[in-house]
Amino acid sequence: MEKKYTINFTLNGKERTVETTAGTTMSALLREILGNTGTKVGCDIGDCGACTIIMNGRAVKSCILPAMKADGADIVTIEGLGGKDGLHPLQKKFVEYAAVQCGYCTPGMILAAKAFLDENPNPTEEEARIAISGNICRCTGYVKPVLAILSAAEEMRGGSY
Amino acid sequence: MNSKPEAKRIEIPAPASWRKLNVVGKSMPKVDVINKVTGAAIYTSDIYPPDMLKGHIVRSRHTRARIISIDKEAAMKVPDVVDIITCFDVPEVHYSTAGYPRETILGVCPNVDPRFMEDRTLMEKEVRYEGEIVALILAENVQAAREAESLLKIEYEVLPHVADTKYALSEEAPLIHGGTGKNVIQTEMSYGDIEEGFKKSDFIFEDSVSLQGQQHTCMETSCSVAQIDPSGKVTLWSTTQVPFHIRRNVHEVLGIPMSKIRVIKPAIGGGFGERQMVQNEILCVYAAMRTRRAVRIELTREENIAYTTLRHPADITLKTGVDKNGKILAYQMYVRSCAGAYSGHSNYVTKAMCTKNPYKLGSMFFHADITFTNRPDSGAYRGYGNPQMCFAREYHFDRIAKELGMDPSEFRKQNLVQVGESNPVALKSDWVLQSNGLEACIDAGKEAIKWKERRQPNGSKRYGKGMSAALHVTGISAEPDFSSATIKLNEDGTVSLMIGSPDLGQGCDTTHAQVCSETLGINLKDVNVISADTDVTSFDGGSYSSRQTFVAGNAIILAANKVKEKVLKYASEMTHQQLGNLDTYDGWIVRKENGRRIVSMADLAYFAAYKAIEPIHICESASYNALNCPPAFAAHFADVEVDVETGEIKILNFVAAHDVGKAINPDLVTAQVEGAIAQGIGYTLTEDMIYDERAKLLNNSFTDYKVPRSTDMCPIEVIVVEAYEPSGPYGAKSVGEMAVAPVAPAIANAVYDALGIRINSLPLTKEKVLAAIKEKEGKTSI
Repeated sequence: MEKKYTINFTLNGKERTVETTAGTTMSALLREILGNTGTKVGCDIGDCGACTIIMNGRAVKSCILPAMKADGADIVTIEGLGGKDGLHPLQKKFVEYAAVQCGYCTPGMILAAKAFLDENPNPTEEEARIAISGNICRCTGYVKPVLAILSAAEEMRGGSY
Repeated sequence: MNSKPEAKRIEIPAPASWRKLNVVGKSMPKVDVINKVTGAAIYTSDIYPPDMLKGHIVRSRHTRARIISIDKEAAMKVPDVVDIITCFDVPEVHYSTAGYPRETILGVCPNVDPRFMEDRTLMEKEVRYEGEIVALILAENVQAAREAESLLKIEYEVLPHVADTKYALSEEAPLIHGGTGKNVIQTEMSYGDIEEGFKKSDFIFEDSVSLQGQQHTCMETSCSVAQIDPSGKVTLWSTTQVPFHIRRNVHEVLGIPMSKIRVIKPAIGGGFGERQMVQNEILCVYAAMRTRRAVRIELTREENIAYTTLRHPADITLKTGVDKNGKILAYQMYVRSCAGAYSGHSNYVTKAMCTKNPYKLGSMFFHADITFTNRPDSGAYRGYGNPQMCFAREYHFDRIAKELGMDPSEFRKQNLVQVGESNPVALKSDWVLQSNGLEACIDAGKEAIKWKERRQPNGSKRYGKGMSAALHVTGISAEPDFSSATIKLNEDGTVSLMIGSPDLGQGCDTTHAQVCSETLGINLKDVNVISADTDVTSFDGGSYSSRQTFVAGNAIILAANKVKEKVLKYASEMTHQQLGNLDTYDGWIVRKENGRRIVSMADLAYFAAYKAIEPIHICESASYNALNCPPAFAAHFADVEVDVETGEIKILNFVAAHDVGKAINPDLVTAQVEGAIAQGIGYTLTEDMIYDERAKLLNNSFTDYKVPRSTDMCPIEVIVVEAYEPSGPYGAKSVGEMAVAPVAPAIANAVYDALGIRINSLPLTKEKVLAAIKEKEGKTSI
């Protein structure tokens, strides 16, 4: 039996205490232990970005993040983005711009975009493209996601987000 | 020749003057999108039944070998290992990985030895490619399974292998399927007198090209989860495009009655053809039967890239005879495609290369060598043979046009098949082409790309523009194709639409809901789509061959009209108005002549269920048998910059003009085109399957297999031409597969325009472009 360690972190605003092992990745912890399957795994080696979450304000790839690294961290996953009052502007714009096809890369891409826009509220198209260049999408050709991100940025600059 | 484009003649049959399309033609948000942006959508890989075992596939390290024995004793002693299944355990039932029924296989391809078509069991005793399955370890966790794998004693007799198609066709090559006498399925098709055609030609051109394999790289890797309840009922969740084909295959191989098999396709992370076949579903159910536990078989990304099917590598030689005005008189195709170890879709894909052609050819001859090798199988991939042949043909025609001194767009336009002529995709039927917006696509595309304007060289940069034209099927062209739909009216006036074909992300749940709500005269929000669940929905072959909007859409119209007929009958009883004066629109029963609202659909539904003299549950099903396969058309244009010092190709602008018949949902149409162009750009510039001499794939990760990222893309302009198709639902044809085929030749022809160099193989890597430039410079300096 592998040794268990107790870690504490904030997940989407809620304090969590969980037991984990040294070999458990954050994506596995979120999906298989905590049942938050909105975080997807596309390659399990940090190539594709489907597993992107936000840790302490930064976009990180949870499939290569040891769960124990999350001890004490503030974690946001796609489940925690919109909140009870509705969709986050990025989610709204991804809907409006038809930027979602199979949707498997969508949570990771939206979170990568959120961490980026939180630091760069007024990006150029080129900057937005670079921000999601770690997120592979095989469906959209990135045309509509990039437009959605730029439009969300505009809304976020004018709003309370 | 210069007739008015079909696009400008849209007519919707028999609308009353007040009645406009209410739902169809609008960019409605997708019906499943809220769950996808919030992370609530459940994919197969998100399903973790309690007490589930992980299925770990043990793969052959040898390219070709006979398995003499497998000793599982030590491996079974590893804690947490529950069962190990090998080739000595599985049922001796052969099936085709293509998933099609036996009758179809033999009916469509009567010239093919059936031994080629139903060519494998779940695990073969002779492995035929590196990485082929030799055992399945079922364990509580992956770590235990891996340890067990290291203790599994497999005795192989290593056999000589065939790494490539050229060797496969040689005399000395070993037979991959013993007893068949050869490593090739040969097939030929023709019409007209080709010899006479060449004799009459003023010029004859010949070109050979070579196309590489391509991986779908769906973002969710292939996954199956099977659970069997104590009564014996199987529930199978799968990343599949063909739930009903999967149900039939599970039934045939494992002997379970269909009533005891429920196949569900939950949300799916991509399809693109990879899942138009049997993946690991049968094995997953078999493992669940043996262990009496839920079982999950999920591929790693590395397995998914290396060992799932790929786009067929192909070598193609074309020979075309034209008269001095550029009219095509004779057209000959030779294709050598790499099937891999098992035939699967190879026979169909390779044959499909013959007919996906938007031109009048005078006379035609097609020969294919569908060649077996000891490589992972090639299979269905978006375009189904079209991208390979489209590259060959449009590369070849571009050269013909240039050498005849013609504008490449004019050469193409003057040879286009026209409305009223034979439908080119239907070799054996008398289908007639009823719509064709390709000429309008070419004209609109030329204008958007500024066809006549060329940039001057700048330093090491050279500039060029290129184009291509293509056609793709709308549904299966070579066999009977049908879909069915079931619609039930709830007591509050909302409906449930049950449809068998899966939404793969392309949005057919949404377009189907739009067709349903338009026909029934209700709001889109009142349509609940339930798709791809074999216990609930009516039968459908699946999502492939660009068939959903057309074939399933027509079935939905038939079913919706039957529901509407019942609705109006009860509305007449309820309102005491003449049946013939009633219609439905926007959620209301209305007067037919002016659209005046009489009673809401909600009140009518409640009346029919609870107040009518003879209460009724209004629920109707209908099947639609495709009466035509109306092709979609497209013309693509690329504006490129090539750096002669580095060989780098930069696409400055890409224009894609598409005749889709009618855009049921315009945003979803442009989304399909944009995504397909990205896959086409990957195919053209960076994606390649690189094998070593043992036919082992060397680049099995996203690090080494380069699919386009956001920073690799170019501006894309999509032009939607709506050439109304009389047989289509609201005039619609297809778009999803169409858009990938013309990308590569448009770019390659632009590169020729920039450099004066034709590169006859893909991908156009920097190294290849630079080598071609150096070769040309070498020749010119001598």
